[in-house]
Amino acid sequence: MKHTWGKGTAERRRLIRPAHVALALVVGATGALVTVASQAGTAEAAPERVLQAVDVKVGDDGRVASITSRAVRDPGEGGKVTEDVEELDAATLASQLPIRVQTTWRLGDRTGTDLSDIEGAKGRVVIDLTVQNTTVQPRQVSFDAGGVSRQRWALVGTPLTVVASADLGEDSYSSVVVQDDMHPDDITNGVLGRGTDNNAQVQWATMLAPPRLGASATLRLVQDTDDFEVPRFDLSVQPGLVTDTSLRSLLEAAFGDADDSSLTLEKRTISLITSVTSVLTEASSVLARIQTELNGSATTLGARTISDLQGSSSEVSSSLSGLTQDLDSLSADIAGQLRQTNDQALRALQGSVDQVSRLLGDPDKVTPPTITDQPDGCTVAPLPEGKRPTVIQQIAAVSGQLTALAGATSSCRATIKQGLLDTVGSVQPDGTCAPLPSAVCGILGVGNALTNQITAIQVFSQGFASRFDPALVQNITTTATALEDAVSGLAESLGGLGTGTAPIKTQLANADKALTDALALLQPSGGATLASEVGSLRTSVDGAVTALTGATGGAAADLRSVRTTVCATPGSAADAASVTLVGVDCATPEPTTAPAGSLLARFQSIDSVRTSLSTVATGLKDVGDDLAAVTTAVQNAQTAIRTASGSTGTVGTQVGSAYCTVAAIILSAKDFPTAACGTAPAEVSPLDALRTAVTNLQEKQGTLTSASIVEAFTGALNSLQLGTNNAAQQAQQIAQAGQEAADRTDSLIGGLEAQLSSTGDQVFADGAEAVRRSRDRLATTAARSGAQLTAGVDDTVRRIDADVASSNRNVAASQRLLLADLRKVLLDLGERKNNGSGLLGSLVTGATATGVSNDRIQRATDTAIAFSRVRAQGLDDLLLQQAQTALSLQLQAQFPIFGIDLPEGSTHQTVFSVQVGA
Amino acid sequence: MMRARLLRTGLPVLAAALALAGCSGDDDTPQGPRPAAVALKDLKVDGDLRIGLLVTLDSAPGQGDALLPAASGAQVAVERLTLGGSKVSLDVQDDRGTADGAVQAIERFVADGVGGIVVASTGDHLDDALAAASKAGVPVIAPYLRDADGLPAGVWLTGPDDRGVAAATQRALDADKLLDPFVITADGVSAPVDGLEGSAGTDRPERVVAQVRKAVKEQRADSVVVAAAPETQASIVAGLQGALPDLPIVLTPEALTPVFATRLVDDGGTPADELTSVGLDATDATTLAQGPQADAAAAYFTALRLMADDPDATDVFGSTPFAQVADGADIASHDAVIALATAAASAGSVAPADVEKALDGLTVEAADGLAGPALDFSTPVALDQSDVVALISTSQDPGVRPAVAGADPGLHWFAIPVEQG
Repeated sequence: MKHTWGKGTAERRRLIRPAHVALALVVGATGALVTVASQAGTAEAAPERVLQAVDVKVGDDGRVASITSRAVRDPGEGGKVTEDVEELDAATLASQLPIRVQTTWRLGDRTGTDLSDIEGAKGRVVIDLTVQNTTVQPRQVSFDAGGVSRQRWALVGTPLTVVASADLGEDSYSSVVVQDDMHPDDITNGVLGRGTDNNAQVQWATMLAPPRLGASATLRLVQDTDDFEVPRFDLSVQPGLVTDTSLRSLLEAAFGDADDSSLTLEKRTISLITSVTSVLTEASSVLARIQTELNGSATTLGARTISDLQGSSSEVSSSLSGLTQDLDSLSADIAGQLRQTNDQALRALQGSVDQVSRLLGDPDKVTPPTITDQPDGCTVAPLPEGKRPTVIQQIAAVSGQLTALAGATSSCRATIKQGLLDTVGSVQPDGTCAPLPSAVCGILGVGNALTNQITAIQVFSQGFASRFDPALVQNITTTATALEDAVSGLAESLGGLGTGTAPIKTQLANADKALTDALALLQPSGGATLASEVGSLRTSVDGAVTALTGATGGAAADLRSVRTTVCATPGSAADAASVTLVGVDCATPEPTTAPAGSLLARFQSIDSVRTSLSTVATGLKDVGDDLAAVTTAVQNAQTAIRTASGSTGTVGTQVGSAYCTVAAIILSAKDFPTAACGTAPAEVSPLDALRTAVTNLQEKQGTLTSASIVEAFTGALNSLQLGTNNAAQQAQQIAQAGQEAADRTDSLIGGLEAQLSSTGDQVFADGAEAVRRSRDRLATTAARSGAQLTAGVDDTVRRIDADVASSNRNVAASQRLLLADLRKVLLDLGERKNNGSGLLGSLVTGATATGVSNDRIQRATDTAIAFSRVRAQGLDDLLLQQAQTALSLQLQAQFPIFGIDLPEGSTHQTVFSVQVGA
Repeated sequence: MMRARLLRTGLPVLAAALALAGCSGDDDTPQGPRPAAVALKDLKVDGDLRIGLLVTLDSAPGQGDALLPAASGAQVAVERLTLGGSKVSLDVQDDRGTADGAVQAIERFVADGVGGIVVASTGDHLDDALAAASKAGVPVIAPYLRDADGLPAGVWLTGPDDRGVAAATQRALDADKLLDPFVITADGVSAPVDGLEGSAGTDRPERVVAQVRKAVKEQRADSVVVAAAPETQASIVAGLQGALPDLPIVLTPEALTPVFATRLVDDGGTPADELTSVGLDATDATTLAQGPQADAAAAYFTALRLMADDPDATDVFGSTPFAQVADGADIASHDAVIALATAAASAGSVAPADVEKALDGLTVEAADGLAGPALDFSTPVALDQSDVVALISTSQDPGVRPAVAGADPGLHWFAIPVEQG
């Protein structure tokens, strides 16, 4: 897609002046790889080659004050080179710049964004210039992972190279803060240099190249000053990964001959290295998958699985073959150029290419491993010793063994499988598990999972202890006692109706009031009812029981599952592990009650806490039910009494009915006045039932205080901690037993890593050397053409030179910084440690079993497979990053011209010069 | 270059728009466009504006405690307003994740005389509190509440509502031609789309994962939608990543909180997987593009970094350096504060009744200082729900927040183009 930044929206005035210069560097170009076909202006105009410098002036407060385009345009075919200076509409185009620059400052406890606010200030000034790459957009990126083509959304942008400099004025050198032990972040993060008149000159250089490098960078200047002068920051921004930001390099990029340009060769090297790392990552991914499949299968491998694995390894072999062909082609191109020029830089590059080619190996010279299959067994010939196998050889070895595995006899199949795998793995001194998920990793995984279990239980127990309020149970008891008091005199007073001095109506009214009081206790207006309090407490306890079930539930099954896996490979180590897990060795059936000290017993002890809580929950349910019964009975009694009070019928009958109703609340069957009231409605009266339920609850709750719960959990936690340590120890023992076998599989990837790392270093060193030599050659070329260039140079070229130079006052420092960044982009092999970066980090992280939650463990083998899948996604992410990097390098070739029109088919190189402040 | 001098009309919206267009009322200052100002000098609040910030420190899943880190975005808004010369402060109350606590918090806000309230929480425990605030005549902006039904007067939603989430989720599924989602719900979060149903509320995550695996194996499901609190979502996603690594997973916006990423890693999952959620194009990655929306978000993050670098800046409770909470601070709570301040500026008063009256019908946008999409307060749901879009996860940090030492691997989100998402 072709487009122009801000095309068609800018108002501008155009100054086109013929330049009296025919740049010596422009010779016979047929199209520059480093520049790009650009937007059509007038269809009939001839394509041009253009160097565009965009000057951006930014005020102290971040306002974009002006944008000016200065273009040197070469119409080719002997036409005159012209200058084209246009002042663009900043209001419209500012938001379309490929970078965003923002300023902030800090002085003591003051902060702000307008640098002019601290002009003349005294103290330590911290200024941040944040430069952000704004070309990043979501795009769908395709890549191959394990032989499968994938497509994912990812953020991709044109990589930008930024160099920046600030000159702080006379005698400012000692005012720049470059070290502060108290505030290690509050220091200048550029390279401080001394200019004439003791000027402090700070140089920054960075690449904004996501995903390998950040899309934004902060340039920080810290200065101790008595009278702060806002400095001018000069920034130069070029698309691409550029290590030489000079005018010479720009001119060559814009007008140089594409095919023999050393810059082109540099870019081809970049592309090459990106491809190599991608293919090697893919190879690692396939190897990992093979090991995983073998490790994860407790039974014989299925034919389909083997077939899939063969397919994957074939894909990698194919990729490798394709890559070696590309390398050979590039090598041949360079050789062709060498015959013409005998250039040392080219020779160095060819050396790099050939070295990478050797690392990968020759697909035509691969000998599959020899496998002898005899009725009485078989042998697998190892790779030749004394010579490091190439990547293709390693892949071929695996492919060969897989092929043999598919067609082997059963006895040989076992040997081959053992040779491929030997299952066990190893535990590193730092506690990590390698090389891949295995029985040992499974055990260690359980150890880690137990740690997670401990955390879950700690959180739970703390939460529960704070929720479990013994005072609430006491409250129930108090209220129940008051209730009992309220109604206890009722039966007696009603029984004596008509015999006392008070009128019957009064006695009935008294009884009514007593019942009203009782109901007020049961159902207070505006407050929590006793029933709801009981309900609330019960909910809390039920929740605790559920949570505890969730926290420990399934743990026993997990432990038994792990034991089954461990015991599948009998031996002393397996027996020891089994004892740790369930208390008995592999040969002994698991007893009904787990022996003390085993992990199973410790989980069971937590279960006992859960049982106690369940009992409390049951008691609370009883209280709740009985309360409901009492409430209903009291309401019935009150209705009966009120009926009696308002009755016009036989008072005696009504009163008798009321009496019997009240008696039914209070008196159990043995005391019930059956003569007057007939058979008791229940064996135990509601009030007696409630009294018993509350007493039971008190007894059950008696020992279950917050403190006791915490104590119980602490004991369990201590046991679990011990168990975890034991598990790790057992894992170590098993690891030692299988170390030799594990080493065999480990070496497969280990060797690859070592080669990759050392060769990567060499490739980079060679590349850097090539770049240096290229610069030397450029310098010579520029010197040769210097007379012509200088003679014809006009304002535009001088201005571009000045702008670029002012942003790059310390050339050596910026090149060092940029080379370091380039290395990160191209050869991020990463750190060989858990959660380390890059390919190596991913391999190691994948080989450790940290972070797997016990909640997810169904069986150890399941976990290993699940873990390997998660790990595979980590490698996929790495492949995605490599694809993003490759795509971003393509975008560089499509970087549009800014704000001006060019004829169809034109090529250009654009540099942005940004001045902030002053 | 053309220059024009236009007088301020007193309307902040217009004034900010003029600044955006490169115009200034002060001839002594440099002329030129400033895509989005960090210091909100054009938004002048008359008087001392106190804004109630309701947060939830601890709650049941789905009742708002996962949003606590997000609430720090409100502080960034206050920082920008303060840099611009206004006097705005936050009155922070914890509702403890309970209905009673929320009502009590509102009562304290009313007693303290706040001009408006930002509810940086969610869940049905807020129902009574919203009614109480409405009754007291204090305007409320709830950026994270999703249930728009029956909102009391004076309460506005500024984030995705249930309908917006449902529509965006459906669009995300349609874009990938996913017809048979397995929909898992828990923690009271409503299902955004129809499909095979599973509940994580009663089952352990691995059982739900087993159900999904069975449904996928039997070709009854081609994807999973998880509507739950972030902790629950993380457990399920971790399980799915281990069991069905290629299964498309779509998550409700709860997954956008830092809690989700942390728990995902804790549960053995990986942030390297591609996950889909729905929300606003107002994330860290928004700043990496060009245009006014990106500039607006970039201004927000500049202010955030400024605070994170300030050793005296703390979290909402004044107990932790702001730098340590900066990784969760959210644009939604920032924009809620900006909207209230804009209303107060428009009203020329900080009294709640005046702020509410001014807010009713007001339109607030990036030019006013918003870092996210425009808000139209003429309806209770102030966000145009077509702004709710599909978001894709990435483990690649856009790098606009300060790095926190020892922090977990982060999960970041970016919006994909609407026509394709």
